[in-house]
Amino acid sequence: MLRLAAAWAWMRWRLAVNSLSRRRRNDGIETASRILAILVPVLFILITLPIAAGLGLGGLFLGKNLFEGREMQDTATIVTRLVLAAVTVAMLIAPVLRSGFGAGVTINRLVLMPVSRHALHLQQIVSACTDPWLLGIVPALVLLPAGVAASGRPGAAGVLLLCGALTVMCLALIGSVAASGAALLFRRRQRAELISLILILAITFAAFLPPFFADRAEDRDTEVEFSLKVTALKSIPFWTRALPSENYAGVVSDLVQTGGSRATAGVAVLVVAVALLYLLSLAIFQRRLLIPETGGGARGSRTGEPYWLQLPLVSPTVAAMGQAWFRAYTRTIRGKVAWIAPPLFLVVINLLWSRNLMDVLPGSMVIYKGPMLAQFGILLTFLTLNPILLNQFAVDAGGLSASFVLPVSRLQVLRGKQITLAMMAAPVVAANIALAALLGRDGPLLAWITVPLNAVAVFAVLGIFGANLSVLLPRAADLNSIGNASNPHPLSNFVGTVVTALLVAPGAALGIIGWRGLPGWTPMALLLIWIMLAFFVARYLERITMELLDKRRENLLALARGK
Amino acid sequence: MINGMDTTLSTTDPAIVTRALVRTFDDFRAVDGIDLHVPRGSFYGFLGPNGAGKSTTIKCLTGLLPPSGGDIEILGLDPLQEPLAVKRQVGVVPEDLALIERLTGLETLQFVGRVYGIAREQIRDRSAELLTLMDLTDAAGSQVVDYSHGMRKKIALSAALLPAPRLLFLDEPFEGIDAVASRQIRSLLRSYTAGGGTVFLTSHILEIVEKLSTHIGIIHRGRLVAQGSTAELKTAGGRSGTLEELFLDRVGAGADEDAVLDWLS
Ligand SMILES: Nc1ncnc2c1ncn2[C@@H]1O[C@H](COP(=O)(O)OP(=O)(O)O)[C@@H](O)[C@H]1O
Ligand SMILES: [Mg+2]
Repeated sequence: MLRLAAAWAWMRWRLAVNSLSRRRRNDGIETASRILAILVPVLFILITLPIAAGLGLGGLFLGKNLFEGREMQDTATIVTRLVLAAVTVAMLIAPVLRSGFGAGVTINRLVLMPVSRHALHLQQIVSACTDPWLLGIVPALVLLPAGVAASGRPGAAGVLLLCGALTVMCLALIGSVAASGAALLFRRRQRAELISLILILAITFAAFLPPFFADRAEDRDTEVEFSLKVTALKSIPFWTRALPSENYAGVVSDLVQTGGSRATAGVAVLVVAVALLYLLSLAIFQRRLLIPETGGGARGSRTGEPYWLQLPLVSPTVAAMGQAWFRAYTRTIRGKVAWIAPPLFLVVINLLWSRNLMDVLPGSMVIYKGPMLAQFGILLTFLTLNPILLNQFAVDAGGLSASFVLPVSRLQVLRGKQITLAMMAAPVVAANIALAALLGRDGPLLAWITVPLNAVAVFAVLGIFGANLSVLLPRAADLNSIGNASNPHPLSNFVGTVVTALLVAPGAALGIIGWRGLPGWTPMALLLIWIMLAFFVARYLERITMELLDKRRENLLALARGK
Repeated sequence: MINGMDTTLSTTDPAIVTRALVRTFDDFRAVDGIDLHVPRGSFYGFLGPNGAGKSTTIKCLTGLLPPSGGDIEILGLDPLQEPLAVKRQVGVVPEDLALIERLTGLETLQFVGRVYGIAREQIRDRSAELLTLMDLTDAAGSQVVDYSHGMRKKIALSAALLPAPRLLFLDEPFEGIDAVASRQIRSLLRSYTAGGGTVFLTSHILEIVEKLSTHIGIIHRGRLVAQGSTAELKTAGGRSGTLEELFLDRVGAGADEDAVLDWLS
């Protein structure tokens, strides 16, 4: 067991070291880009460390004053419940985000070696223990009992410490179950993609839920509302005790209220939970080992004649490349999200709008709701397309090689990419305009006409700017992953997001609020000037990108393969 | 090219010529001054042990990697000056196969056909024939991402053949391909060269190269250690004449035929 752990640790260490040293020639840009990419996890650690420390100190303080009064008990119960519930959810979701089809390679290598399944299973649990979410609450779970002990109640402190340890084990086991379960579910490519798509949409929209609840609260008396919430959070129905997070909070309140008479039951529940979770996790893990990953199976699928459009204004070669990549990208999860998410977001924004936004505006100002939603749709469209757009030369290694082997010029490749992205964005922008017209039937016709024009102006610059960024800062991305693996380089992601917003803003402003006191055609004239400017900038950027593409061809080819 | 010779009309001028071709990675010389001479219509087997520099050479010849030094001439053209004119006459199966994973097999072929500007009916007929020949008809509607290793090779080879190129670059085409398909591909390539096409193929499998090649080059540690017609090379130096002997002789490795790992028995 120890030998296995040592070998495992050594392997991870070598992987980390090897990823830093390489023999391939890399230019200055690449070195800088790699340093930037390393900075991100460093930043992450810099942010999470203080949070963990803060939680720990908070725990110490709460522990010391736990028996001092009701308010302290309420706070302790609520905080522990919320934090532990958040970590439970994170332990369920994080492994799923991290996995995905093809993530099982390391475990497959281990299965070939003479290592027992139980040892492999333990290894998985231990690595779940090192999940940052879980590590983050460990200081608090240790310092809370320490505080209690310091206030002169060693018995209660012991019970809390034991419960804390059992809770951590439960959470690690939940993480392990989630990881194995995800691996089982993701065994087949098609199924993996469907589940991932549903999951990514669900998670994205879950982020919109809090504002809705917050909205309702505003109508009522805030004090009453708050105390209502406190009561709701405090009273724990007994059945929820089966959840480790709830149980821990339950033990805390038992200790204070009943002096610990029910604490034994709480500990017993946790022990049973650990045992059951262990058995469940082992069962799923073994099943996962037995059933290897498979592709979708390449036989017996429909063979309809593929259709190819003749596109206006471009050569058949560029049209072919554009459509090939269009198909390839829209079949990935990120590609599908780029189609589905923006209209859904628009509906959510519409709901938020009717509640809040109008009240914030000064009374003298008029904003047309429909055109504004439509302009917002442009922003949403490009933000969801950005993982592909900002990384357009690194999301498809095979296609990149192909474009260097086939008889196509650099300019044709670049134009082909722009065609692809335009084909992906245009239907979404159109759908958003239609949706916006349904949701808000106001505004003059000219305000509506500015919407597609603005989209054209934004895309003219953004498409080629994205090409530029992706040549400068390519990152090998898997468009089928729902986690970080599908994202562009962090710096290009940041710059790209800012630039997207900046590009959408002027045209959108002209379309939404540019009317007061001006003749009706002025905004349109300004917008046309803006479009001409955009195309001028795009031509200039195109030339830069071509030169860069020439210079960085080799690095691109290597990086697109993740080397 | 030899001075004074008419290079445009002659059918005997070489398909590929390189002079002192060099490709370095930092200070490591993966290809170290190679003078290739591949006659038109020949089946040129480019042999070498793993890591000898075969793939790097093919990448330099096909435009995937810029060479660090030396000259290249392909079908009488300089690929660095006229890359498109060269690529239009050339089909390539590179090391990584250069396949768009999310296209189906059929779409892959149609995509390549369209990029080369081939007429639609012609693309349809040729794809159907190629898919049948490669036994990929059933999988034609599946995405390449779901293909097995051998199926990928076969669809990449089909894509390289579809535009009917004058010259084919194949990097390890037989590796991972089953016996039936391998036999079919071999006979296909034979009739291709009989019709005037040139094949430049890398491999580390001597048997296949020995059976197919009219010409052979052997690369070792980035240097060309033998080159010539197969018959010539086999009998050169008064050797009894198997390719394996020549190979082992030139590459020098594995001379210790009785290598034994004591602890393994
Ligand atoms: N991009 C690269 N960066 C650094 N070294 C490389 C690169 N590509 C190939 N090499 C090295 O060049 C040598 C020749 O590789 P390659 O041409 O792929 O050999 P093979 O004959 O097996 O095809 C190997 O030692 C390989 O490690
Ligand atoms: Mg090779």
